[in-house]
Amino acid sequence: MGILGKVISSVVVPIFMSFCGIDGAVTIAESAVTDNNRYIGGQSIALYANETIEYIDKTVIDDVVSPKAVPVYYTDTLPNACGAVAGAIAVGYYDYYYENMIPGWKSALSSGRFKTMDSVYVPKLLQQLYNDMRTNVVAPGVSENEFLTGFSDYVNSNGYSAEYRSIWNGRFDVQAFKSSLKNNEVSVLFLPSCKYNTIDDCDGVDIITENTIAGNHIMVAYGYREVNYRLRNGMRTDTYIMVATGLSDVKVAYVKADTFMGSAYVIRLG
Amino acid sequence: MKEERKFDNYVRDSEKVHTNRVLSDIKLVHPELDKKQSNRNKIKKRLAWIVPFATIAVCTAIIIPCVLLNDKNIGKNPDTDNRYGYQIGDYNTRVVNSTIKEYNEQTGSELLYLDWYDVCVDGKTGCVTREYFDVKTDERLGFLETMMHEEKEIAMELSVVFNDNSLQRLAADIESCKIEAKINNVDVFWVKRNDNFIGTFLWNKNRYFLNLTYAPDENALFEIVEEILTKK
Repeated sequence: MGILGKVISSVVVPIFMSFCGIDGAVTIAESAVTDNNRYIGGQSIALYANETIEYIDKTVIDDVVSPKAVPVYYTDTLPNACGAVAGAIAVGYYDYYYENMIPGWKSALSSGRFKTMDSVYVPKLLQQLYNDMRTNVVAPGVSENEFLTGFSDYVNSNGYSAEYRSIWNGRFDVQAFKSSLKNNEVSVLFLPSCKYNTIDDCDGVDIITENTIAGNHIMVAYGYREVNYRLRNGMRTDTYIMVATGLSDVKVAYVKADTFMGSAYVIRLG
Repeated sequence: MKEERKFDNYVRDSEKVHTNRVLSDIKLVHPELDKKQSNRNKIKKRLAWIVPFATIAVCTAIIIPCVLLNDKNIGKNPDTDNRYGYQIGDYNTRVVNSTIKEYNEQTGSELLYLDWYDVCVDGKTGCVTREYFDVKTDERLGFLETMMHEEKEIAMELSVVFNDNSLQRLAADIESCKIEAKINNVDVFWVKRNDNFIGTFLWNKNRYFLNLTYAPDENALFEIVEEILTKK
């Protein structure tokens, strides 16, 4: 690298990054709600990256909404619909607490267990949100703004209001997220580069598979999991955001909390 | 420059003439050398055809095995080994009007299914049957049926893939399901994934996948697999 290159990389770039609020390679400036990023979802392109953890024992600590899940919906008919699907999952969850969020249908049994997708009401809900969010109108998919506005429109039409509180400030705000879970509030994650994990529990061995989704994606977060492993040569702690992916193949997954990059909002209904 | 070139050419031509003259003289003195050279030329002519022939033979020897090895059917048993692999994007799902049970009745097929139709949450609308299909050919590759038992409150998703074809996402489940159980003489592989229980087994050349939500433990999976196998 020539002298000019060295000067640029060691002096000019850091100054520029500092000006933009870019702190090294870890944090980024808080993402304003703009229409620049579009979220189109997509299928997992399944770049399997397996990690095997052999442990002596493990403890799992969950901070989860009550009931301890969210409904798992997806679509195989609506294109670029990750916004509508995430919105439907959030609506389906809040239907447990708020009457008539899905007119004519209850998303959960009285025990709190969420039903599987039916053939009438969930498709109708997906289509409504797809329209309310103006999916594929301005450009493919939805922007953050279109998602939040469209979700509000749907909720308003059923007599409720929605507020959004950002829990991303260059980093995922774990404490604020856990606090919202205690209030039985779910969050929506906007992921420009989406990786999620599945964990196979094989009794003494955990197999963690990392998958990647092609395209920006939106998911609903409903829990925080901390897994503490006692290994032969020490301890290890992994932390995850528990999410409903909105995908047909892997419906529930874990996003690594310490490497999450994107934006996130707690959804509060009233 | 031109003069130099003329001179170089003159020298070269002179050398040629001189060389030829010397060679002729040598042949006069040693006529056997001429014969050997003549024989060598004859052999060269005879062998001239070998080079292109050998080239063609070598290329064929390389190309044909490559073609054969690419043919998935070579060396396979057509009855049991005719399987195809579908990557994500090659296949998709869509809702169909018949349940797996109704499909069997309509077509005389003997696909296994979970007979929860009469105890399904939300009745008919609560049971959703989809087909897997090849996006290019529209060929049906299998079925995917989901419903929830209204008393057990277990949600289930049952996939049947024809001819044990490999659908990429489901194929990953086979790799992950490492623990083996034997139920009604059928080998069932299962794993607990993200709080769900997933099992897979092969029956009558078709591959089945079962994914349970809200199951308390793996015994619920075994009981449901047994229930499915009673339909055989």
